[in-house]
Amino acid sequence: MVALFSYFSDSETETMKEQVFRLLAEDGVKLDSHPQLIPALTKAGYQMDEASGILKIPVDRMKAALEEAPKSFKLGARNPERILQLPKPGGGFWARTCTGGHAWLEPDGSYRRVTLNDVAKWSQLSNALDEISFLSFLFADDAPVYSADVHSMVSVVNNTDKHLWVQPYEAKNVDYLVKLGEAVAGGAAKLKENPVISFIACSLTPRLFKHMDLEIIYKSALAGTPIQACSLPGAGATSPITVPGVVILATAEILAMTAMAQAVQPGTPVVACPIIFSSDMRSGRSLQSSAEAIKAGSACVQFIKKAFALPTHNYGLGSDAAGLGEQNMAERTMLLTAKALSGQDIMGGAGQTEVAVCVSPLQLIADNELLSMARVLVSPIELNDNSMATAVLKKVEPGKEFISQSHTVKNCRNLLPQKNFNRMTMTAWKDAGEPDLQAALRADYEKIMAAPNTGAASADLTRELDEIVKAADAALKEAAGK
Amino acid sequence: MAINDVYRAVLDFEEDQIADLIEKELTEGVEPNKLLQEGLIAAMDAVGKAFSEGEIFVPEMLMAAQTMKLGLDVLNPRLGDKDAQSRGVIVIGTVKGDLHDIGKNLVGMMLEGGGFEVHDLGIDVSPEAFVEGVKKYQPAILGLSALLTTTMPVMEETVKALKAAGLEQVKVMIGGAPVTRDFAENIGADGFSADAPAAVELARSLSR
Ligand code: B12
Repeated sequence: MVALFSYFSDSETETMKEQVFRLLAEDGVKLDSHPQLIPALTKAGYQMDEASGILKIPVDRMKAALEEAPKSFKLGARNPERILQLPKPGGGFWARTCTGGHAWLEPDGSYRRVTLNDVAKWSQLSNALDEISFLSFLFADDAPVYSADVHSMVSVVNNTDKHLWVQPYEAKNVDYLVKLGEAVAGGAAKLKENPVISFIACSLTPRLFKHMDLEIIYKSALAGTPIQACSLPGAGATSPITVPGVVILATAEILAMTAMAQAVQPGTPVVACPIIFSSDMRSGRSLQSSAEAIKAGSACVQFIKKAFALPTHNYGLGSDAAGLGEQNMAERTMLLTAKALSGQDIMGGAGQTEVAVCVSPLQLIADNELLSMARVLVSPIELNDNSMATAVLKKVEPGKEFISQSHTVKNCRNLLPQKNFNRMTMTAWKDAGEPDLQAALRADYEKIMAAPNTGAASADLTRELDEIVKAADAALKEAAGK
Repeated sequence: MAINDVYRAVLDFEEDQIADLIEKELTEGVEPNKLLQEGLIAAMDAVGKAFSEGEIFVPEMLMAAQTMKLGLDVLNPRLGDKDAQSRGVIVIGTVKGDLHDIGKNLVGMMLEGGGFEVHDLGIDVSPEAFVEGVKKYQPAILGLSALLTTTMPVMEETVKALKAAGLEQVKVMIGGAPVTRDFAENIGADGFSADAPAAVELARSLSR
């Protein structure tokens, strides 16, 4: 395995771990009411103060829940070849596209709201990019507001055979999102075997859990789909501003969700998602790719892996900049490098800019390329005769060359081919008419989109999904009083 | 000279001392309104300027605003009605279905720092609850925050509910990540701002 960098020593990790356990045991978290989850907690032996809604988790109970949570499991997919094992066998990471973005940056530079048609195109593109392991849905402006998540999810699953992480917008919608997952998997039992979807549940930092997220934890645990337990602290706004402070809080919230999931269904897979933002002290804006956000996110991922061995998921791509320019590329590169070296299991946020609000298909293609570079960076280095070049080092005499040696020929195709990044000299580049990265990405985009979509759903599946959407629209419209 | 102590106390976030300083000035016969204008408000204007120039950070700005508020608590009973209401009342909240409050809180705190009297109705606030809040606090301005596209329609419902309740004189300003100026115009809101400092400017222009 490669030597990943680490902020905390073993003894520091222990100190932090104690703080997390203490926060959960002494102060606990606060839960909204939930008619099934709270009784499940009580049944599992947790003591919840009904009046205050405070759930304190004794250290022993927390440790027992952590024992129950699997350390290795899979994120399913309609295409069996695209099932993802966590942690990734052989090391390294998986990658996921932006979730929830509502603004769309067209390849021609125009900026507008995302539509369902964009979600379909986005999914086709994501399906074709080999470094993008799974998808999430965007916020489509032309979908009915009361069932926007349902519509957007269908636009994705109609166009991909990869895994999907699902971000519900309303508690009432969760059942329909599960049904869509069942349709994709081929039934409720099949969904348990091959969880083609996983759900996002979020804390309302600090230490609060709202009804929708309790509903997500409950329904997802019953459906057998992995739970991506997210804490989104804004360091300095909703959490302590210091790195250990925000790491302790985010971890405690993630562990609380882990405990809740195990109480509903022991063995429920949980992915720890400490999506830590920093707060810009000049404007108050939440930042995802400031030095502090990158540092705190990396530290938290390292800590959770070391202390609790849960798989981790966090931003690995994305920027705080508007547009695709230099700042954007610099920020996302630093973010990805830090996270890859931290051993983060899933790199979220592919294709996004403007703090997760905007997506760009061109950026998604560029991210595919960045991801391939990061993959090489963290892949382990094996030691054997070939890699140590034992024979050829002996053979080549002082002052001679390696380029024509059979050892070089044999290994030269293992290097990463760059598709769109340019490696010309200044003169050659000027002679070629100064082709920029955006132009290369645009050409690549057109080529990918012109090819048939190998991930498209069958006509039968599409029909089945449509039926669920119709039922959801009718019921949710009524519930929303529209 | 002594008013300068009050002014400095705001700039230095002297939360523990501001009340005593003002009491001292009052017993020495300084006009309450003079303390308000040349002490507290002048200090907050200086803080606002330094903030816009990037010299003062959000938490510092908020500390200054809190200090000013503690000072105001002492001054208010001694001020005439007109002076106390100098920059007007604002009711603010995040609309129904929406729990995002970091931005709304920031805007609320900055408005307070800007001299407004702010009543925060919290998160997940229905149009009816906004109408109730407006009736209760009689604000010049209502501020609505939404971070979800799904909850933006509630802003329009709230504007309509205000009209239906005969409260159209109250100016409505809105904000939040997916909200745009066009949207504000379409739903008949009176203003939009993309960030907290601009929200203070907007509130000042709306309350003029
Ligand atoms: C932190 C966060 C959360 C936290 C909120 C914590 C909290 N206490 O507020 C949590 C985790 C709880 C959360 C939950 C959800 N979130 Co959220 N969240 C964010 C995030 C990352 C940052 C928001 C933030 O605090 N920004 C910092 C503040 C300072 O900025 P601001 O809110 O924009 O406010 C400024 C201006 O807009 C303006 N302003 C704001 N309000 C007002 C009001 C007035 C009157 C005025 C004049 C100005 C004004 O001034 C403010 C100060 O400068 C955003 C992404 C983003 N870039 O916005 C997503 C985001 C808003 N969330 C999103 C989603 C989808 C959700 C969830 C539905 C999904 C989920 N399961 O996670 C839930 C919904 C819960 C609910 N019912 O509300 C989407 C929204 C997509 C859309 N268009 O609908 C976003 C864009 C992220 C994404 N890509 O998915 N979220």
